[in-house]
Amino acid sequence: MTLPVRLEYFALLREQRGLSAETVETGAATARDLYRELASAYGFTLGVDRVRVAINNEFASWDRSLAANDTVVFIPPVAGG
Amino acid sequence: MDTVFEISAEPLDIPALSTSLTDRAAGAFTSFAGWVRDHNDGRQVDGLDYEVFAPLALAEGAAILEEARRKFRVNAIRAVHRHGMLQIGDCAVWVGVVSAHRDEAFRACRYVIDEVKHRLPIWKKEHYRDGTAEWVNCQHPGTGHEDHSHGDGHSHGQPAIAEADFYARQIRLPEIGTEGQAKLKAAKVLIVGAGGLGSPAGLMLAAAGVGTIGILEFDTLEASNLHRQVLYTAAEVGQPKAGAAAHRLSALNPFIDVRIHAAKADADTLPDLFGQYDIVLDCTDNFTTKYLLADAAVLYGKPVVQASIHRFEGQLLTIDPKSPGGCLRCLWPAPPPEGLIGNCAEVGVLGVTPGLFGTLQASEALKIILGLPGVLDRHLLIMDALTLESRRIGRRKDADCPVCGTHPTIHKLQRNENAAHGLDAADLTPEALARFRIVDLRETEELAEHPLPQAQHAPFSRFEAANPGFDDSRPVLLVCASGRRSNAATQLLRAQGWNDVFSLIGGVKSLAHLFHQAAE
Repeated sequence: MTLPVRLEYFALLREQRGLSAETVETGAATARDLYRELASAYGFTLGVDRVRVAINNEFASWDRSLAANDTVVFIPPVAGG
Repeated sequence: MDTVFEISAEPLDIPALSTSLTDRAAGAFTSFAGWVRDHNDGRQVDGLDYEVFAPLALAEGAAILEEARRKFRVNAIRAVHRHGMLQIGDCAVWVGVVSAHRDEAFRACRYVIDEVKHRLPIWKKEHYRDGTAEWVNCQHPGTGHEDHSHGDGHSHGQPAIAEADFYARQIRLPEIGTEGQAKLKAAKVLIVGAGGLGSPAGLMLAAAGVGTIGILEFDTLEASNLHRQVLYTAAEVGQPKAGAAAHRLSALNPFIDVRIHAAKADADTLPDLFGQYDIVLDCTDNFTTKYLLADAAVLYGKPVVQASIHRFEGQLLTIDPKSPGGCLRCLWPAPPPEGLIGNCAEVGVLGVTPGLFGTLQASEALKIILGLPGVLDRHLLIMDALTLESRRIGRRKDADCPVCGTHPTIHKLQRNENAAHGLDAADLTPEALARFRIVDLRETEELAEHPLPQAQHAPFSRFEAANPGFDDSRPVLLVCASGRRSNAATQLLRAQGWNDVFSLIGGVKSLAHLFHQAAE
């Protein structure tokens, strides 16, 4: 069984994914599983412990279960100035 | 002794300085002394505060003396410049020259004092009898007549405008009024990093009338800064930024006090500075300093407003130690290894992006000072300057946070400068590793134990930082057997000005799994 979720990428992840947002059908149970699938599909250089996930505009735990139509945002830290 | 240039915090002992130049081969001795005078541009001066950017001043001073010695073929030159608070009549600068004949001694002495006045990164703040004070720029490239220790043609004096008129439009806002304006005047804000973010932040805070603004910055201005660092002009390239920034902000608003801190933000300087200011703006461009400032917010109980840019997007958050929103480490417990994310120098930046975010940092500071709602202490703002889409993402204190959690493990500012340039193989993926030029510093006989055919071989026994045998056209990852030699070489290269060079922590064997993965 799969769920539709809206994904948004920021900074380095946006560049490595090649786009800033998309809607996918995922079978991943948690945010962590979803990130790992994406990381291996698109060659993300940042491991899961270097990135934060926000679900529906709140920072969330990687163990959080995904629900249909969640907006899932992956945010790496940045440091430019 | 041929030439000696010094910076001194102590009063100058002129007889001793003169005696030190005694030379039986010399027929002439000339000296120049610059004193603090009791007036300038019609204003009564009480004293002078000299701020010196010591590393550059010492190097430039030594260069000037050598130039003069060669140019005029004199025997010896000694010069000393004071820093700190000086009173009327104190000697601020002294130059002594000995030579065979008088003519070259006079000319060399004149040359040295003129060049010192023009080229040294030294600023002075004049304290006037009426209780006010003002930074006066000592550096005037292209003008050439100095016969006293200050007052070199810079026109200043009482501004011809009234302070109430300056702020008239914002005082009209009911949220501000004269009461709010008084809060702004009493406020003290430190700007760490006077670059792409610090420039608009500084201009906005100065214009709004924040009474005390500190500039913590040790860099000198480069041409490639000007497209986004709008505090500066093309004529100031090569000058230390802190002084130029203070001069610009004081010129914009003569009713505020701008303080120069020409130093690095580190575990030595930050504790004292956090004591001197109410709010700190993190306008820096590297993770090491951002984490230091975020930790300092919690450890010293002062709000820190952080902004960071990546290409066209930026992030903004305000760390308020009293807020349930938590700190930077609540979001990302440790900085990623430098070199994995990229900075403005590497990935490029359009000036308007830090322009937007620096302005937002000033806005956060003003909201805190004025007690206005909407401070970003429980959210992270992410905004893209291209799409103009933004998100405010709610954040909460993490009970496991190493600095603000219930069982903190960080109790003081971290001092692992060397570790900051180490990469841990656990943080690397095969894709990340592919970005680097890998250089193997082991000796030839060590290679067989853990072969690393992907690396360029440059044995440490023949390593020279000035000519290492590879360039920095790609980020460089140095490896050896344990990580010690690669750390040493990394420090040596960084001392030569390399920015994108890292040492593999734990040595070559920790890389094995990555190549294994990549081969699969």
